[in-house]
Amino acid sequence: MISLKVNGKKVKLDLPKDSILLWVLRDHLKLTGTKYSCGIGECGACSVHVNGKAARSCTLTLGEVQGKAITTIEGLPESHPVKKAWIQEQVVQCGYCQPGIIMQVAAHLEAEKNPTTDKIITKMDDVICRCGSYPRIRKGIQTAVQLKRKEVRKS
Amino acid sequence: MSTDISRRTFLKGSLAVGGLTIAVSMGPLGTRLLNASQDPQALKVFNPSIWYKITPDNILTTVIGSSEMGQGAHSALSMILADELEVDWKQVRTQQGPAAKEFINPFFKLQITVGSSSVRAFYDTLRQAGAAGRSMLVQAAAARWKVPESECSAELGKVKHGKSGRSLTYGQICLDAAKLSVPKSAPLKKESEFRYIGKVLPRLDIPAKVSGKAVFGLDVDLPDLHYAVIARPPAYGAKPIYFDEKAAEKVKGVVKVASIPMGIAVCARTLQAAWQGRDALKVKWDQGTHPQMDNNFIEKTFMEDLDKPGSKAAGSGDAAKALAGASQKVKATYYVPFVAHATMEPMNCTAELHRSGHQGSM
Repeated sequence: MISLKVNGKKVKLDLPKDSILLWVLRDHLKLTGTKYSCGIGECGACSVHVNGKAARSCTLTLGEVQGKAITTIEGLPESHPVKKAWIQEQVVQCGYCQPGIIMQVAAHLEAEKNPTTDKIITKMDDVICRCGSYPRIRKGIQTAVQLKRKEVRKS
Repeated sequence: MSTDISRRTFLKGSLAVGGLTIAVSMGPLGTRLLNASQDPQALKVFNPSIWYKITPDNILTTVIGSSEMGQGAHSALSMILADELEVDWKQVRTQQGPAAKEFINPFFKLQITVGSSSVRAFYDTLRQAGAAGRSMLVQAAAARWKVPESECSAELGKVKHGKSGRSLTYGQICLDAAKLSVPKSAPLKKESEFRYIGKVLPRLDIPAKVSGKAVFGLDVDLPDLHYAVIARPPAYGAKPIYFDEKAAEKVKGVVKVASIPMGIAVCARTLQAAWQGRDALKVKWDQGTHPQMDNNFIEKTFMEDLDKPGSKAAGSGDAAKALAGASQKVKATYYVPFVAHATMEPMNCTAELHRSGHQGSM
């Protein structure tokens, strides 16, 4: 039995330790928002948060995330600045890569004490969008940073 | 493959909720509209291309056969309908239509979403369909108030009676409208009256793609779903000369190994098991029908062909003369490799074989 936390809930899985996290999420927990694309950790479509940090679930084993907290796109609140910005700026084209990209942006936005668009963008050069929505991803990041700052000011 | 099952299941689900359902058919004789609310059986002979439904919850649902690949086909076609219907964009939902001959794109005679053709193919038809629905809703409201139709107007999901200031939402009158017959020709809006057509609206597919709830091909889940992967040849026309079927079958979760025209398929209970099974095949391939074919060969062939006389597709001016007289000449070679589309979502397809074994859906 392997225990971990997924989107805030405790989960116990009777699966081999070398099971790939991506397929555990998709096939066993039916969380299909996390996408399979390159399968070698290069494109970023499968990114989730592991203890708050962005990680590529296609290259992580269940053993490696034992006892850790996983957040998937489904677990990121709809009110999160990145999700809101993504709708506001209509970032998405086909949308397949976007859950992973959203998760990666969200993790960096949370980690930055004083987030700026440039700071986040320098951490986004390892994602692939086949539609080429990069200019919109940039706009989305810009808006997410502004929304996040507003949030911080309010609290 | 039969489309009957998916169509039947689809009709059942789609018509389960009462409301005004208009089915739209495009054929060689032009647009035909049918009020499907009263007579779902008629749909069997009617073959609608697109449909829409207005339900008592005040929602317009459009069912569209074009694929939404992010270019906005679902939103664009819904916009045309919503504009003529006079529905608030916030009330619009859309559904992917099933794979069925009724959804054939009349330009290409295939159910295909390509070449920016969805709007061109369906524009006039959807305007007529929307206008017909609007006219029926107005007629229903006028009858409820016992006033002439000419005193009523439709605006943003409501029918209004100017004289008395009364109004009814589409949700409130859709069941009445559902009892009316479709008018032969309903007046279209003037272009100056367009609310949505020609404007940029928030796309209907984006919220689900941001929340992670959008269902892509690879996300389809069915009871007892199995996964098949194919060991494909590394060269054109190559055939396997050796593979270890037994080793693949020994992998936990592998159900079947089968030779198929394009390679060797491994079917398993999980995708991971299917991949492991494919690795275990350890296929050895022959040289194939074009052993010399590789990237270098293709590039060399292309470059050599450039020096051969070609055929003329179009011509204007005199390039040779212009070049001879040019004050500055620039020479550059551009080469684009011969590459596959390489979509982010790996190519996939889900098929359901029904218990009888004679019918399936995809």
